[in-house]
Amino acid sequence: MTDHDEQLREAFETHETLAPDPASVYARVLELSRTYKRRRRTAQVAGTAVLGAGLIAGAIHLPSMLPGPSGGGGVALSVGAPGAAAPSVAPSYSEADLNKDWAAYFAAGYGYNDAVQLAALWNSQNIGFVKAEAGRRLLAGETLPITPHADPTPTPDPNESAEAAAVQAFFNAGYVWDDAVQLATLWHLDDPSRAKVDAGKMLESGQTLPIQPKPDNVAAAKEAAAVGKFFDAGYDYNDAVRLAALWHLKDAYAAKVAGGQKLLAGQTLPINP
Amino acid sequence: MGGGGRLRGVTFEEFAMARLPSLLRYAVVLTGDRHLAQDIVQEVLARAHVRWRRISEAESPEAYVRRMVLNEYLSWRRTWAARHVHVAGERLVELDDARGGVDDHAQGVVDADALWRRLATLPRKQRAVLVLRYYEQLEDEQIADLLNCSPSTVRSQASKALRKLRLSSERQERVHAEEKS
Repeated sequence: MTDHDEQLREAFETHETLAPDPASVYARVLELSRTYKRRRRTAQVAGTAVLGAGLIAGAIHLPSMLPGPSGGGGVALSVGAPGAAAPSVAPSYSEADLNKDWAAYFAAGYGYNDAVQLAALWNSQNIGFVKAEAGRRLLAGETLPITPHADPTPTPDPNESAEAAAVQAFFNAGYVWDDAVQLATLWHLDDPSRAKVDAGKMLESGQTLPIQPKPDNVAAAKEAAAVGKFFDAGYDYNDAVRLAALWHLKDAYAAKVAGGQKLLAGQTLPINP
Repeated sequence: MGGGGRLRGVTFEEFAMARLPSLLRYAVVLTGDRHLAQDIVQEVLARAHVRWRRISEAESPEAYVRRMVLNEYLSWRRTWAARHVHVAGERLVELDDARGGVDDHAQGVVDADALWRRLATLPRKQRAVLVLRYYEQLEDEQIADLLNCSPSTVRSQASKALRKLRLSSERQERVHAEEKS
């Protein structure tokens, strides 16, 4: 390893800790994805009820449920301190076993919220393991201490939806994070994210903001809208790579933009998503 | 790049619970800005959530999502890089000012901070090459595949980036020569 290898690695590794709080990010991910799902009119919900911040925070300290970069063939799962009815061991599952147990769990009509309940009964924070253990017991002919309840379809919070739409309006108009910082200062707000929402609502109601977006950012926002359209139509990165080759564009991003612009104009693309 | 092999039946929230912290760290290193990293990861994971069934069947869902983060970073509203350089540079200089010099810090940390600031001046693709090579520890061929370019382009981008960061001996020699002349 050369000197600059080490310097760069150190620079990256000493600053990766700037990463924001995963729990708050996850909450926002769910909020955003609900918006996207509505757009795509896909009503399928796969047991993805909102997780509490505590669960996320707890999970971070648990062994990974998924095979990691150096993982072997098995998937190591562990539980917390065993309670009265807790599984007594921390087994190492094969991928096939895991799939089989999870399939049994869901086939019996249990959902994510049931797993949370079972996790509380079994003193575990590892929801994935709880589902697997419950599935294993069901396959063994045992009954579980709770009856199944299908996960409810999340009902979008109207306030959250309105805020997400406002933020989208803010970005669609070509404003960017720095503008939100500037607006927060002007409006004496502590949080630029709040400024994004307030500004977006003003734009939605036809008002103008005290600062104008930069022309480059407006152009970029138009591109972003095209890219968003591309993804909303169900296309992904691999599709963009294929389109870039078909259209002789320099990269996948150019294909996303070109494809999105065509879709926005009501045209179809030469490949299906 | 992270593993996370094929594992059908893993729900999105299970994936997120296990991998979100790592994705956020990756995004911070790529972007150099925690707010932008958050925006990018949120955007990517929200899209991944919508298409989770398909993604979970990929050879490596984590590699797929990390690739999405990389692409999002490279394509994220084109102009962010210019403002980012300015803002990040200012923020870090302010941090330096606020903590009143470097006496209390190990020299290694100081050097890492200085290098982190210089990284903010790189074009996105050059920074991505360095992150993929030195943080993700990928081979140039793998980086070329991720960036849709040739390995020689990767090497060229890395070389330019290192020169700009004043980490290459060539640059040092040139500066030295200029100083002498």
